[in-house]
Amino acid sequence: MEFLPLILLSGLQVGCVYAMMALSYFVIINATGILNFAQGEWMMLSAVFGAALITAQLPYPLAVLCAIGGATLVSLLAERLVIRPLQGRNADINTLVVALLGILVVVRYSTGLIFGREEVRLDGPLPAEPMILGDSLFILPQTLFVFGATATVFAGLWLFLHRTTFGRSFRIAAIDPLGAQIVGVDLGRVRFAAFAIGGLIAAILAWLYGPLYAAGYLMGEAPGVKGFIALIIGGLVSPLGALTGGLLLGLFEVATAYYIGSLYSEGIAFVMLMLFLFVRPQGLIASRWRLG
Amino acid sequence: MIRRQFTRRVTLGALAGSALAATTGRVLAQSNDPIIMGVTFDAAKQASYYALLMRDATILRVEEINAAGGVLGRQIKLLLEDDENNPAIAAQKVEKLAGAGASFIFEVGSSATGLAAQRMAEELKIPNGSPTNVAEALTKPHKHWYFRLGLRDSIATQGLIRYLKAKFDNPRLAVIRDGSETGLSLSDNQVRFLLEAGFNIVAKEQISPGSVDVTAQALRIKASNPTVVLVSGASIADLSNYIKAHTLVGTKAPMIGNNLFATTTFPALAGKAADGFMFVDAVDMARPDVKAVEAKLIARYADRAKASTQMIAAYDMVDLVVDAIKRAGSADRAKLRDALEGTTNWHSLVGRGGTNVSFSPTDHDGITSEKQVVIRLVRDGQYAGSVDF
Repeated sequence: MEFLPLILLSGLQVGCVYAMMALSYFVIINATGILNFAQGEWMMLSAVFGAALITAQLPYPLAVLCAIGGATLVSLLAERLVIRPLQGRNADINTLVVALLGILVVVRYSTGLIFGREEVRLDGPLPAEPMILGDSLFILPQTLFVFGATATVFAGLWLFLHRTTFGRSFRIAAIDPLGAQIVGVDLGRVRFAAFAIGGLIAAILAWLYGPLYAAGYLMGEAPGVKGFIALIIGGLVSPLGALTGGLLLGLFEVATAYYIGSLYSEGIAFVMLMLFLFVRPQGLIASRWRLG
Repeated sequence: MIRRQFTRRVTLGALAGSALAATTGRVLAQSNDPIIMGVTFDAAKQASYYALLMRDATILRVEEINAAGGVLGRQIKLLLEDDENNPAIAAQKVEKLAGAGASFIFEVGSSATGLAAQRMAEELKIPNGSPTNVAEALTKPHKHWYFRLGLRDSIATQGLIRYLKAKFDNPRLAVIRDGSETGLSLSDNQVRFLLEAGFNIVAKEQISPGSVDVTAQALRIKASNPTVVLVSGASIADLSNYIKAHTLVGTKAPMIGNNLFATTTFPALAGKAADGFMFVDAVDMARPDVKAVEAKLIARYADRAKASTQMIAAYDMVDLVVDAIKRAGSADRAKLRDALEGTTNWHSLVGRGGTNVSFSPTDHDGITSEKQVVIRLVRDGQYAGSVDF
C-alpha cells in the first residue's frame, strides 16, 4: 500500500495520454464515421517538428505553436487532398480508412527520411526536476502539465460542443447526418472541422507524451493503438467514453505491472479489448452525448 | 577460285583477329573494372538508426580507398540495397547483389535480416559479414562464407560476466528489458548465459514499447533488492525511461546496459539519470587510433558520428575486406573467402586496445575472448571512456 498513491499517479498519467488519443479518434469518427488510424502520426509530426524547431534555436513557445499548427495543417491537408476528393467520387468508408492508412505509412516513413530515425529528446514546458511529496511519493512537473492539459482539452471540447452553434451542428451531424443536412448543416464543413479538431488534439498530445518519452518517427504507433482500445472500452459515442476508457486502461496497465508483473501488463490492453468486444461492445458510456 | 579461297582466309583471319582482340579487351577491361561490393541495410525501419550510420561509414571508407588509388589498381563500387528490416527482402537483395557481381556483401542491418542474408549468401557462395550483428547463430554453427568483426551475444555476456565477477561478490541481478522483438531476443539470450554461469537473477521486468511511465517496473526492481540492474534490449527511448525511473524511486544499484546504447542520442534521452550508467561495447572510443577515425567520421557526418562505435566497426570492416583482397591478389569470391579465413593478427579498431583479429577454418568471429570486451561509461551527459576491470 505504501506505493499506491505513486501507482495511481502513474496510471492516471498513462491514462491521460490514452484518453487524449481516444478523444482525437472520437471527434473524427463521430462527425464523419471515419476511423482515422493516422491520428498517432499527427502527434508524431508535432513532436518531431517541435524537436527540430527547438534544435534550430526557435523560442520554445513559438516552436510549440508552430509544431502544433504544422501537424494540424497536415491533418487538414489529408482531409482536403485525399478524403474530400474520394468522398466526391462516392468512395465508401472502407476506402477512406485504407486511404488514411496509406497516409499513415507515407507520413511516418517520410518523416524518418527527412528528420532522421533516431529518437531525440523533447523538452517539456516545465522543469524536469521531480517534486518530492513524501518518502515514497514524488510527482514530475510534466505529470501535472499532462493532467492540466487533458482537463483543459476535454473541457474545451465540451464547451465547443455544448455552447457554440457550430458545436451543436457538429453533434447533430454525429447523431443523424441526413437530418442534419435537411436542417442546413454543411457536412463538408463539419468534416473539415472534425479533422482540424482531431488533428489539433493529437498535435497537443505530442507535448504531453513526447517529454515523457522521446520524439521520433515511430512514436505514434503505441499511443495510436492504445488510444483506439481506450475508445472501444469507453464507448464511441461520447467524449466521456474516451476519458473513462483512457483512464481505466492506464490504471489497469500500471496496476497489473506493479501488482502482478510487467511481463503480463503488455497484454492487458488486448485482454480488455477482447473482453469489452464480447461482453459490452457498446463500451462503458453507451449514451450519446448525455454527459459529454 | 583462288580469289574465293583468299577471301575466305581473310575473313577467317579477320574473325580470329577480332575474337582475339575481343578476348584481350575483355581481360583488360576486367582488370580495370571496379570491384563490386554490396551493402544491405535498413533505410527506414526499426534498425535504421544504426544501419544508416554503418552504411555511411562504409561509404566514407570506400571513398577514401578509391581516392588513394583503389585496391589492386581497381576502384571499389558499392551497391546499396535497403533490406527494409525484413528477412525475406534481405535474402532477395543478396540474390540481386550476387547477380550484379558483388565480391563481398556487408550486412549492416539487424541480426534478423543478417541471418536471412547470410543464408542466401552461403547458398550463392559469396563472402559476406557484419561489423556489429550479435546473433549467436550467425557463426554458430560455423558458416563457410560468413565473417563477423564485432561481438557475438555470448562473448558480450562473457565480458559482462567477467566484469561482474571482478567487481561484485555473487551479485543479485535484476533485468529490465523492452518488449520489442529484438529487445526480447537480446535479453533472453543474455539471461540464459547469465543463468548458465550460475548468477542469481532476482527480478525480470519488461516495458511495453512506447510506455510513458515505468514507475511500476522500477518499484518492483527496487523491491527485489538487486546488487546490479541489467538494462537489456533495443528500444533506447523505453530503456531510458527506466533509467530515469530507477533514479527517481531511489534504487542505488548500478545499471549496466547491453551493446545497443552507443547511439548519439542516448545520453540526452536519459539525462542526468544516466550518470554512471555503463554498457557493454565492442569499441573503446578512448583509443587514439579509434579517435582518429572518429574525427574523420565527424568531419564528414557531423554530430551523428560522435562516439558511434557502430560507425567505427563498419569503417574497420571495409579495411579488413580490402586487406584480404590485397592478400588474395584478386576479388574472386572463393579467393577472397580463403584470404579472409587466413587473416592472422590483423590490427583492428574493434575490441580493447591491442585486439588483433584472426580467423581460422573453424572460427569466423573477430572477437573471440571476453577480455576484448569493453565496458563503457556515461558521465555528465556524455560518453566518458571505458571502465578498467
